[in-house]
Amino acid sequence: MTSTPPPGKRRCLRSWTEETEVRQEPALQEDCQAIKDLPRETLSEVFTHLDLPTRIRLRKVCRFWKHVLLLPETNFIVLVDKHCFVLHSTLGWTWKRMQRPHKIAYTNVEVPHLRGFLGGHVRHIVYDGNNLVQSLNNTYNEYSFCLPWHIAWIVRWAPNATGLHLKRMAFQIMHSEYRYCNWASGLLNIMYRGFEPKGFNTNALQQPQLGSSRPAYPHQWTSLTVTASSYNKDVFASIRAVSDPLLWPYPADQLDWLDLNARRLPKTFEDCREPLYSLVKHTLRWNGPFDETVWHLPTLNYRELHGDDLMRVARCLLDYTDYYGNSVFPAPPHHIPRQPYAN
Amino acid sequence: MAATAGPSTGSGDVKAAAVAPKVRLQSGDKEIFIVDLPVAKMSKVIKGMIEDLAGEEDPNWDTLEPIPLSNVSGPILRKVITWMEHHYKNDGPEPERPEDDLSHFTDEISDWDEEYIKVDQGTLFELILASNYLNIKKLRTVGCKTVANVLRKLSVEEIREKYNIENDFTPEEEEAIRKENEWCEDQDASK
Repeated sequence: MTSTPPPGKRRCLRSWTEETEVRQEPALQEDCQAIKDLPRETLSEVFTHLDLPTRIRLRKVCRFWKHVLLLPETNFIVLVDKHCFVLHSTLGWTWKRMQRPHKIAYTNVEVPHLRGFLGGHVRHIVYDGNNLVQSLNNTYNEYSFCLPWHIAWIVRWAPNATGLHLKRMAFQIMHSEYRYCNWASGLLNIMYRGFEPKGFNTNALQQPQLGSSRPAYPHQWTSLTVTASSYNKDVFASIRAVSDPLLWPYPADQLDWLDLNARRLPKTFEDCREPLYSLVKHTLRWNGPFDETVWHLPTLNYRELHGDDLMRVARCLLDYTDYYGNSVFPAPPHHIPRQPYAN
Repeated sequence: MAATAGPSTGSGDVKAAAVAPKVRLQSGDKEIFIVDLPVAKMSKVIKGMIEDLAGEEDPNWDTLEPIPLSNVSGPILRKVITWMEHHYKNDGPEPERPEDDLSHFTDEISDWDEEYIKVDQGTLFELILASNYLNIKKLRTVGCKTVANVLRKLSVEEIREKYNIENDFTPEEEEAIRKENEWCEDQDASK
């Protein structure tokens, strides 16, 4: 009599645990019910890997999903890509209309019901460029279909975002027209255009800090993070500290070659720096210090130049030919690609 | 696969590589797996358990009780161990990342992981649950990304059908959401 209750109790316990285990592996359609067993936190984590249009779409599935999709902890990170720029528009923008980006760029219609997705809780914005080739010197042209316009829209609705992560972007840092290309000013353009919306505190965002995985080729960024930080006047220095080793990824003997030969360039190449200066000054309203080092090629200290300047001078050396079209200068010890993606 | 059921082959492994201590893990259905200690420590939960069990002094791992992982079934644990062994061999122990690190959102799934995760949906969700339980962040991320990729390609009706989810909206609510979504429906059609 006295010995029966304990086994009964134990059996009861075991059957209870068995029951819970059974509930985790439902008998009907085992494969398909499993998503319901995910705890809310895990479902939320799955949703964080979805891009914004998909999140909006999946609200329709059921009440629980809608609830989880609109949680701040799901939306602390927002993934957008170029498809998201239909969000600019009001109703029924078709793919054909999307082909006319300059129209869409001006229709910044507020979409209030997105407030659950965007808002003060958004900390990170990840822009998936999907291997979009973005020429940096074009970013200030508002008629071209460019990155900053549709990021500006997202940023407006995410006032507390700490940064912008650009993923799978192939920035065309060097251009065949080397004279119009300045890596630093191009990136500043993104910063200004992206974070400039009215009513947005730009003071807090004036210093871009770059962190990045090393790109496959010297002329290509695969991934780049622009984070807002405290104000610092030395904007260019912080950009250059990161970009220099990427723009000039060669050992010391390449610099020796450049130093030796660049002094023999004719003086006409001096003016290659001037357009950069005006570009920065006028398009960015940047009146801060701008290093005017590249003014006199024969007397220049090439050891102190920045990566993009070095590359620009190297291009001059490679492109320079004599009257008969033969190269004048000896080939560099390490290969320098002619076109940005010819590698 | 070094994860073998049964202590005989396990002790053979110990002789071959005497340096690496092995721990025994016990799945929910009482299957025993013998795993290298650093590999097992990739799971934060197992790491914590080992530290609790071992205490200060270096114990004799062969005589130690197997670590019970009651929420993970044998086949799933074997799969998880395969993942841990591959990534320990190729990547080493997972480095500590800062709190605001976004790399697990922006990195692509590696080729090996993509092959690895090609399993039926039930196994996939069990893997996610197991990695959640064992606290293996990277594996959980791979699983979540895979599910997200599946969801992205499906329409709402397909998702409801596939996962057997009941539509519990009233017609009025459904109409309201449909109206809100109207402007991005074109884009759905193109997918």
